[in-house]
Amino acid sequence: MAKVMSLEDAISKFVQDGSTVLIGGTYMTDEPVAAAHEIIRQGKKDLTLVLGEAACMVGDLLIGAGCVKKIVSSLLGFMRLKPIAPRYRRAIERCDLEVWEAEQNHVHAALRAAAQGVPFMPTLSGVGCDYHKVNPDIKVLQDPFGDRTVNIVKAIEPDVTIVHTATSDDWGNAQHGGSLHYDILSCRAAKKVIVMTEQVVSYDHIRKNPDKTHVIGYNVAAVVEMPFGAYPSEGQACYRYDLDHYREYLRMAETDAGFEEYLDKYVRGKAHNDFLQLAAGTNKLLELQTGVH
Amino acid sequence: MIDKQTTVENVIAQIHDGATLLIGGWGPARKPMAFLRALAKSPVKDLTIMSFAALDLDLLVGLGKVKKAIYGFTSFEGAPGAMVNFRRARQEGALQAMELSEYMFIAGIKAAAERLPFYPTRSGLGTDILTMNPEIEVITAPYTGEKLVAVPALKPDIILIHVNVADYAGNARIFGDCYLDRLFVRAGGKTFLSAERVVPTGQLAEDGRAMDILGPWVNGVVECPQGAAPGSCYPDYDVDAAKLAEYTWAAQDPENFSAWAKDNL
Repeated sequence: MAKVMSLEDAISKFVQDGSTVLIGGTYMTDEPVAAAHEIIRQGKKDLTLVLGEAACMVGDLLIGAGCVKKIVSSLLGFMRLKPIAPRYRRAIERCDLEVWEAEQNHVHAALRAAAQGVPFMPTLSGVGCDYHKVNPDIKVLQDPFGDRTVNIVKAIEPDVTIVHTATSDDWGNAQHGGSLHYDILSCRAAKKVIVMTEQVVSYDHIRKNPDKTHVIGYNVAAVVEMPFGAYPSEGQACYRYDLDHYREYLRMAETDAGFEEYLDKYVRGKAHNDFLQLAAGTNKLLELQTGVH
Repeated sequence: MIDKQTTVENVIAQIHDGATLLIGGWGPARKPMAFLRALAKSPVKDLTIMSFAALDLDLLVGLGKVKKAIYGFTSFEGAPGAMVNFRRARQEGALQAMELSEYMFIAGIKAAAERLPFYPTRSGLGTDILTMNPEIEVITAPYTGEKLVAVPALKPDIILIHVNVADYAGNARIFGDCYLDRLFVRAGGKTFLSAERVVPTGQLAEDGRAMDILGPWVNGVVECPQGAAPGSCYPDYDVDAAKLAEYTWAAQDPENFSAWAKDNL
């Protein structure tokens, strides 16, 4: 089927300079890290980066590598490891990054509007706050049925959403290995979807558990089979996250020179398998899989 | 361990005159008929019923329980029944009605579920739904200047839903089409489930499939085998065609209907 393709082809076909790109996953779980590496290798720029639920490694890498013009997310951090992501912090301090100032529920309201084909979505989030003064995509509207006001968030329709799943068939009907993050909404809101999956399986296999199919193939443009594609994040039902590598990244990303060194060591000119071998090695990868399933 | 098991009588005792009820299921499928039968026998009146309606609404209208109906459709959907009581009440002007498109109905429930005053949609634009329901507003979208319908939140006091299997804590599974029931439980108000089977908490999770209804949304659970009959409850039973035909026949005569319905449903 024509949708199954290499990561290189998927990124070069469906991510353009200036695209609005939504990244699925949550924090250190199901981050499509291999896709971020490929976007960096292909030198994409001026992206509007939307984070469904704060995929931190991917967000910080893309910002650090200069691919991102504007970020749509209420936060970007590595939880207890580093509450504010280092490259994100630097970019904002240097005024190199446009920030869509909002709460995460505003992001989701904007995606709900796109998913439902309406130009805006009302929400009670941020009522009484000043978001509308700093973000032109948030307005205050008088409730037509009462005295109060609601916030109105303008629809955000990503050009492409990139998600990581445990399995997918060749048409893009994909199944997560656990939590769904905000991936259902993230995929419905998008014009196109790239599914990066641990394993491409048969249509019959997907049909055995139809209630687990939460990414639906109708707007999936590319299916990329990429074992350990989410490494060093957790690939749900496949492997745990690698805290050692996250720590190494955070150490190096603290400085400009260190971050460049990280990119040279692990990303630029490296295939995903090279990255896996350099960062973890076979034994470590096997260890991360042990006891998961 | 939380135990939300209760009885049909206790559930009905929480429904007061003038209450707004949101009823799960779709047409003749998976309607909480055990609850509704008990409600039909109770003295409660002046209800507002919100439903994708068939037998549920028609029965309550036939027994004089309903002041206002809010619905996306009324239909037995191919099952051998007809909305005889409902039709008569509408023809005689005895029933207030808010007749909506299916999506407008859903949008109103979504607004309630998200605690919003309204939900924006294109559904209903250019139709007489807006003429017949002047309380529904048309607003201008701030960014595009486009006209959109603002459906006001449809807020229930009580939500009644029939499921295949529930546990003591109110977690539940629906084996066939869930229709809008996963949304309905979040619409606010008290939610009561009738279930074909009720099992100890924990047993439902054993096969690892996702829950359809989560316990925190649920106030009470009652085991009611055949609780959706004479409607259907996939995969346990289909509609009772003979009973629905009999119902439709009985409803032709409003004098005797009340007695017939209480004895037979």
